[in-house]
Amino acid sequence: MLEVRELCVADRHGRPIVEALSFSLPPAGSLAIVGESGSGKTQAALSLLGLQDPALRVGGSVRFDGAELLGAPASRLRALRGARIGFVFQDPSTSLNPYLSVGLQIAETIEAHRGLARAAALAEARRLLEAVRIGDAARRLAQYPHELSGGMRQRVMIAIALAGRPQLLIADEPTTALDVTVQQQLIGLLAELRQTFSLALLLITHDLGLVAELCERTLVLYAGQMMEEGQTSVLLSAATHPYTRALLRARPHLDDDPDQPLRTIPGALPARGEARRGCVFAPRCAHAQALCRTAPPPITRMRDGLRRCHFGVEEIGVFAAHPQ
Amino acid sequence: MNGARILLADRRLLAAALALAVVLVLVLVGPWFSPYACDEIDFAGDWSAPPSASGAHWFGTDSLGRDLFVRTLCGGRLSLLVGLVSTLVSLAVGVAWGALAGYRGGRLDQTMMRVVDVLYALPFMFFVIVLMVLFSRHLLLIFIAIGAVNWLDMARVARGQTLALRQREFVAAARLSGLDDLQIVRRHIVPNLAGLVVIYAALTLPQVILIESFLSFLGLGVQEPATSWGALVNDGAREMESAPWSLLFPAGFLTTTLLLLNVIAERLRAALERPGR
Amino acid sequence: MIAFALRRLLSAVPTLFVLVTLAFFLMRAAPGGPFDGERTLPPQIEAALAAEYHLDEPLWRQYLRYLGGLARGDLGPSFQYEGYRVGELIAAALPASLSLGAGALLLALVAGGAIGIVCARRPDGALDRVLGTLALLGVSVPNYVVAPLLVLLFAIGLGWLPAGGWRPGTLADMLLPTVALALPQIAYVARLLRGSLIEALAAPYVRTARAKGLPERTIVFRHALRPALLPVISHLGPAAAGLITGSVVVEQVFNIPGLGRYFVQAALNRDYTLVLGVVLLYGTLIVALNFVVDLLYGALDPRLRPA
Repeated sequence: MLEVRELCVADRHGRPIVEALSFSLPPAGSLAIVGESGSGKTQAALSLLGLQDPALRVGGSVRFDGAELLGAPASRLRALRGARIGFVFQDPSTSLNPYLSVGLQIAETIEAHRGLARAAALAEARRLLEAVRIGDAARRLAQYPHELSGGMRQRVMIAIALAGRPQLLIADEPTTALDVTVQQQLIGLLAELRQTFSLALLLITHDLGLVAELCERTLVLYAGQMMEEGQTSVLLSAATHPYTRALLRARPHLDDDPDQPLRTIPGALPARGEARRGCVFAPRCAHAQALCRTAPPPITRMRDGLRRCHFGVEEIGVFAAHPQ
Repeated sequence: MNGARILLADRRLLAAALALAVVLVLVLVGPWFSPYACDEIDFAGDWSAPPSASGAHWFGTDSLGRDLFVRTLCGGRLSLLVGLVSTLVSLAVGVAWGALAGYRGGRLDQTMMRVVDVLYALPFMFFVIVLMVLFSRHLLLIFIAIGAVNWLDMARVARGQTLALRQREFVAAARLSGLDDLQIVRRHIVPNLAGLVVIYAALTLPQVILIESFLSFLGLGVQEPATSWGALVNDGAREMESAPWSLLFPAGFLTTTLLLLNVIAERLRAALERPGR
Repeated sequence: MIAFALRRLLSAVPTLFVLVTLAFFLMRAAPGGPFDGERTLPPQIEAALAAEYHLDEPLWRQYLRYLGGLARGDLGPSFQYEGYRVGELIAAALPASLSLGAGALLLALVAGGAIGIVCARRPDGALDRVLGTLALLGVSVPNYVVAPLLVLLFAIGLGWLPAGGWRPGTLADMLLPTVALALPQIAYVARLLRGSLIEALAAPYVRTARAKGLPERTIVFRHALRPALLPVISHLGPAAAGLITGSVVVEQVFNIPGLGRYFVQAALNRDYTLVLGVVLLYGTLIVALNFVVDLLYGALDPRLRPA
């Protein structure tokens, strides 16, 4: 359904933010794009439907149901946005319009794509609020975002994303801005809605825990480059890429010794536009050799997925994630 | 020098500053090279003579037969002088008021800013008019009257900035070393407001010139034979049917100067508000 | 809501009180009086006049008398126009000034708003650059330069419109003065709205609106314009003050029998009560506009509505 080939995003000065990213998503499938903040994952997701900052340059190919989206006329993108592809953004306190009532913000999507009049659209909006488990939906329609809790706002955001009856949901860090307990409820809701509406899900996140619960496949992004792509269960239980391993190791666990400092990945993401001769991860990689610093690593096809590294699995070994 | 760097980095700012410098030089030096004095009547020439590039009067003459070129430049001297002095008055009052209120805080701050709020709500131009009419139209009074109405913005901005500065370490250090409040405000707060003051000076200057010329246009500003751009525009407007040049030249100078000052203020603000400064 | 409005109205009382007090004593502190003319009056007549207008009383009694009159809605007798109350004089001059000012304010909001929106839709585009330069020129050209230039061009040069005069309800008479009065404000509003709309169009919730696939028109007018209007609304108070000031010169240039011209004349004649009345009226107008601003803020931003 969604075919992304060699997607490139660069800033005004031509410095790359996302480099040659390729992935595909079948109907009702699910893929997580995982990376640290600044890895380019949000820009990649926004550029799929032309929602990125207009100063950025986007290249490559994005096909949805066979039709090319990059460079497509605005009217065609508009017909897809909200209708066949729904978006959930990171921070519901800024992504919802503070000046408009919740009901209107849901109803306008319905009006735009399903041709319903205001009253019918509002009735539908009420059903959507019930679908995302917001109680007292009729009263909530007339309320404004500032009158709702953070979790409730994100449910409204999801209701908006569902309003056009999409086949694909793109969710950018949907739980990051929320409390931990609320996060769990929303993860449950998303999983349930996927089932009910047989939605495909493209999840953008830095949280591997979220990935494990929501997505069949995972793509690990570092400094705009795909590091590894594969089945989530395999990737999390037997990570073979040095970066994925470092990410897994850096996760806090309940059985961690509280007196020990949190494990981190030493170093920082390369600055945008910094010269890259070898592997982008080499400066922070525990396994880096001379070769890694001089030659860009090839992408190799694995049994089930892709991997960008100079060294094979047998040379690095398999890292089993902490027993959960 | 920080200022020089900002100036050189912004081509539009540089162009506006250079153009303003040309106007300034013209206004300051020009009258010395003219064969006529500011208020000299050319009895040999015509009244309201049209401008001619080769003749005796480049900009023509006014209704009394005075050379309009030299009068425009002389008017500029006065407009700019009033602008400069009144700007300084309003900056001094505004910075002192705002810095004191912001630094002392509490009840004093509340009272002082409430005064500013109330004054804001008053139709101030009318106070200036009343002042100008009731007390003799003395040049000094123009400075004071204009300066007195224009300090409110500066006071608000200076207070806001001072509130932020008050939290900084060097102010605490100054307090620990035994300086009293007035000394701290003078030596540590006010110097740190400098960037802001520069922007506001650039913003205030055209406003002040505008007020002066407004008063002069109404005949409430400078008095004959002295003149300013506003007074010249007023004279010109009366003659415009027969002698449009007497309106166009002073209006052109006034507008150009205001435009250049506005460009400079805008670019300066953009430069100083840019992150990382 | 009503309580909020009442509280807000009450808070305007001290402002107006300060205004009256300041204006009253300032004028009295000045040398000269209303009856100093070219010729000196015989002492008996001067005394009689002073007694008639209570100028012989101590200043504080005059002040209290004036406040008492105000409480009854009486602005007192005019010193210059014998037999007229200040209220009558103002009522006669107000319609011209009010229609001029209201027309200019409307024009400034509509034209300035339209220009601001056009510029913000494509910042740094060709149209934005041209209009932006014109707007910068517009804020730099004062009313009293614009007004004669318009007369020169459209009345004297082209002969399309009258150069002055005021026949109530005549569009041709109103056009030039309204434009002359509005022009700097048009430019100011355009610059203000352009900036705030560009900012609003970059807000995350506008990105959400785009992600919903809404038409561009809805995105701009429903989602971005509302927050972008807030600074423009805040500017209404200063704009009114600017228009009032501008009306003084515009009325003079176009020979319009309005309050602005009255005011300067009254000040020159030391017609204390008339000056006070006009100052008070303008002060009330500005206070009232600020009140409207508060209400509009509440109407536009649900977060500011009293619960």
